[in-house]
Amino acid sequence: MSHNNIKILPGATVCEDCTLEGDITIGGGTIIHPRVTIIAEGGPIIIAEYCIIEEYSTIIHKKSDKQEVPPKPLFIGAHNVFEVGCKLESPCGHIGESNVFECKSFVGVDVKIGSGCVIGAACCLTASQTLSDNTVIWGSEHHVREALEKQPSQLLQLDFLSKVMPNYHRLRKPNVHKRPPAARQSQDSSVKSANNV
Amino acid sequence: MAYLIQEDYVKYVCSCGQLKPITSLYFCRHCLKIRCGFCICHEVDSHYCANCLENMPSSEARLKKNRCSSCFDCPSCFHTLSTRAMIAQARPSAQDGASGDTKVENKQPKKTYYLSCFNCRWTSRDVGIPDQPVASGGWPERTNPFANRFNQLLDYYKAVAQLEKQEKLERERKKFAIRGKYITLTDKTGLTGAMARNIAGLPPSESGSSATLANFTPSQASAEVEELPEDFYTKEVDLKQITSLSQRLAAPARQPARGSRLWPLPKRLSVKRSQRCRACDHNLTKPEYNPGSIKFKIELLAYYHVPEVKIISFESVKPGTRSELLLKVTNPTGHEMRLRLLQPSDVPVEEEQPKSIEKSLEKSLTLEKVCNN
Repeated sequence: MSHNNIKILPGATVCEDCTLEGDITIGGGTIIHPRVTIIAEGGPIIIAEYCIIEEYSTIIHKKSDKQEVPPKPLFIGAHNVFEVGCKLESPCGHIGESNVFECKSFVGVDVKIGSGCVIGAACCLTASQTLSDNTVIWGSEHHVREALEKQPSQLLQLDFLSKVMPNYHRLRKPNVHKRPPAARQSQDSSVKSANNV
Repeated sequence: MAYLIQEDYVKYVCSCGQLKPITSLYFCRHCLKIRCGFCICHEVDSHYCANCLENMPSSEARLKKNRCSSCFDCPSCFHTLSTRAMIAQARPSAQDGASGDTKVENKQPKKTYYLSCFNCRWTSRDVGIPDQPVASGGWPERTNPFANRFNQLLDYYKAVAQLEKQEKLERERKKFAIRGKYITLTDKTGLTGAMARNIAGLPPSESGSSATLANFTPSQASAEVEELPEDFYTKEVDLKQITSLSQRLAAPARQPARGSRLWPLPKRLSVKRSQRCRACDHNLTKPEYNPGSIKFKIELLAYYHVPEVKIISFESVKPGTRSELLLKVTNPTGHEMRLRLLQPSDVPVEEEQPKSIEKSLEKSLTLEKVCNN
């Protein structure tokens, strides 16, 4: 990526010590820990509100051969939790909300994820598949279960982190100053404008 | 040289002939012999729950079917369930609306508790167990559908055991008709207890057991099985809803076929056991009574007495050439130790080993026989 176009909405806590490449939009209330890698080489990445992205997790929007023009964004819904060391590779697509990617989990290309899913610790999804809402995958044998309700959101944790993080880490400052309801539209328009460029 | 997850490369010959890594061997100080778990007596010292570390006497443990009353395992992945709290606002009902005083109570947030598994994220809400107002205990229990039959069988076998015990006592009494120091009622009056009861007009003592023996109906094997539903082969299978074999077997009373019927499993109790040498009846290990402690009162492990052999380096063996094997032998004791390396020709004949296994097996079998008789 020759140029980085990183938009941080007000209320987001983004540590300076992380690798952000390409066209990335980070929603308000989202917390990005240090040592996180987010690479948007295949197209823009949009992270919605109230996500937690923990240390050493990697989110890559991969370049694919059948690249559409303009490239489709990778949209990550609200209230997702990416735990330490998880990896998400996706050429494009949509990830729902309230998902949990546990420690050291891996989600490869061609995996569509609904809402309220849990990818268990060290679980590895490589085959192309679609996870319906509230799917829970756990264990070394990748047991699959369907939960009754979505995973509870980590609002307390978010609150705590947004208070504590600034005390111990250098943060990137929000560079988009718009109100949250309007932010969504501006995101879309900014994506479009970025694509046009 | 023993590893936690790797293969054990150095194995020691136990006095019973088994090959074991040094970590699972004991050393009897009184017989001066290596012993392993195969050739010693295991005795249960105490029952306790591994989660809440509650100690339980063995009679209580038996009564509770060797399960803890306050801890649960996940029925989905068998991990221990944790209690989670949730602050829920009490719902305003129609009654509350009528009277103004209750409003004050409603304002206080109420804590409710549910069980949740941190591994597979199963929660007690998934199967519709209502949240509890207290943190521990009070979880609804499901009755065993076969409880009646179960109790019947239990009573029957208790009666059988009692009868056998009595018969054995009678036989012993006949066998050893030796007059002891003490004079029993029978000796004094020529009456047995049963006769005395009969004369006094009391019901015979074993009437309860004989009645259960008489009333017992053995189970009937039947060749008729309920037919499968018609759409059994055609209906699409939803694997997320169907329980696995291990999940069903974990709840043997109900064996739920669907995930929505899973119920928290009361946690199984663990035991602390002491181990005893069979030859000299001395304790080899004896744990401390407190379940929270992992120390031993007596701990005669081979690791403290037997030289530890480690393989430092080795060459792959090629025909016709010498290859080097570097061993490190450590003396764990503070005393001088003499070590002799044997040539292959000096190694004692292997044939003895299986015999000794058989012997110990035979011994344990005869022990059992004695117990049965």
